Amino acid sequence: MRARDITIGALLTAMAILIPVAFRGWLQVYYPPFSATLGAHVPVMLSMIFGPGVAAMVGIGSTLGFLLTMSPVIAARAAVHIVWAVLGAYLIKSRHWSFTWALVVTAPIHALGEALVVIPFGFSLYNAGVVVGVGTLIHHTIDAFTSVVLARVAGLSASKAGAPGVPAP
Amino acid sequence: MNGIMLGQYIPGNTVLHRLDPRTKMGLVFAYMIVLFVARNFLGLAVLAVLGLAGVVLSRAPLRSLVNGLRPMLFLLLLSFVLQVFFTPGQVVWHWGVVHVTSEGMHMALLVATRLILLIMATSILTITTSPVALTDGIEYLLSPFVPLGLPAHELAMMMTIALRFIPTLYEELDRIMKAQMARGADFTGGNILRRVRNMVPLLVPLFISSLRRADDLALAMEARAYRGGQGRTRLRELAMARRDWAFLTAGLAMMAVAVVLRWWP
Repeated sequence: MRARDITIGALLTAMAILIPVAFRGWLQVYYPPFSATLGAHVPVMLSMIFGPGVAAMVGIGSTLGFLLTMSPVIAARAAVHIVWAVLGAYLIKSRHWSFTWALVVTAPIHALGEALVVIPFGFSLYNAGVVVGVGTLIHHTIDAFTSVVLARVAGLSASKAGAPGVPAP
Repeated sequence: MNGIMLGQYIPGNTVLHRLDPRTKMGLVFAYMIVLFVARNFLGLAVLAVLGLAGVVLSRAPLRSLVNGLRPMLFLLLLSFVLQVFFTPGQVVWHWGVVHVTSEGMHMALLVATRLILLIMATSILTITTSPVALTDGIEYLLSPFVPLGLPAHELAMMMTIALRFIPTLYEELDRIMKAQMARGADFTGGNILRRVRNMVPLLVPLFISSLRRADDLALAMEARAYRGGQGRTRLRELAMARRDWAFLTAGLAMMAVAVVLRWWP
């Protein structure tokens, strides 16, 4: 793995851990037992542009980060990000899908994954399927909009995944 | 945005602080498995004694442990109520359509105890182990999977950089926020969708500066001939001491007792 992939993965992981902590309360949606911080998926979504390797690293990194800084339930939900982020990155990199379509396709996988992963923590089928599943789907959609806007404004695209002002290698 | 608290690590010099991170992680991992294997209160009592011994030895402040439980409080209560009222079995009390069964009470207490002990164990691990030591431990524990293609060193390096940069990014976010507020931006007003829209002017400069920082950092690493994990040495090598083996033996022995008690009548 190249040093640049590690550092981009690290900075996106840092933001994936920071956003839910820094924006807690201000951008937090709480519908018991579901809780989410809007914007929390943006770093993982943007990591898809940089390829499956970086997406996997950010997914694993944010899971470990949440395990160290928050609770096992949040870490388990974050672990689902590895699956859809890698799939989205694969679609962009190998199948040449657009960032937007990759985000659309990964939304139901994300919702289903988070609904399933909370069941061992004592969630009932209704709470897991309807509250967490539908809640995650809405959360994914809002964050996908933010990510697309951010990628456009920052000049990121699947073909040009370099930092603005810095030529991509 | 007021203060920020990431992780629960409290620096100290207790015997648990001095243990190798691999010992603590191995014990907590085994503890988590045994918690779900133990099926009766006798087994859970043995595990509770082990957990409490960890609390005493770590000299962890009660407040830190309670803070660890707080995010799970609602889940705990909900799970308790659902188990008590909706588990079928022998009815011990009823009021109209509401039934409380002895099986439900037993299951509710079992699930609640498991969750509390689970959170307590992970809290003790994060209270007594610094994030850098944890990532070193993770790298070592993931090393058997390297032949299968898992980039254990890269993952640990990425976690170390990420944890190092969280305070820096937080300061930067705070600076950007104040700069935007000085220009008249209002981040706290309006409904949730307006707040999301207001977030974009915060995130754009933060992401752009982070990507530039990542490029600078990669350039600096390559200039210093960074070439991944092979042949790399460490400032502080992990080494298992006698106390690590003693803790592993004692901890695993108590967990074995808890597993055996599963078949106790």
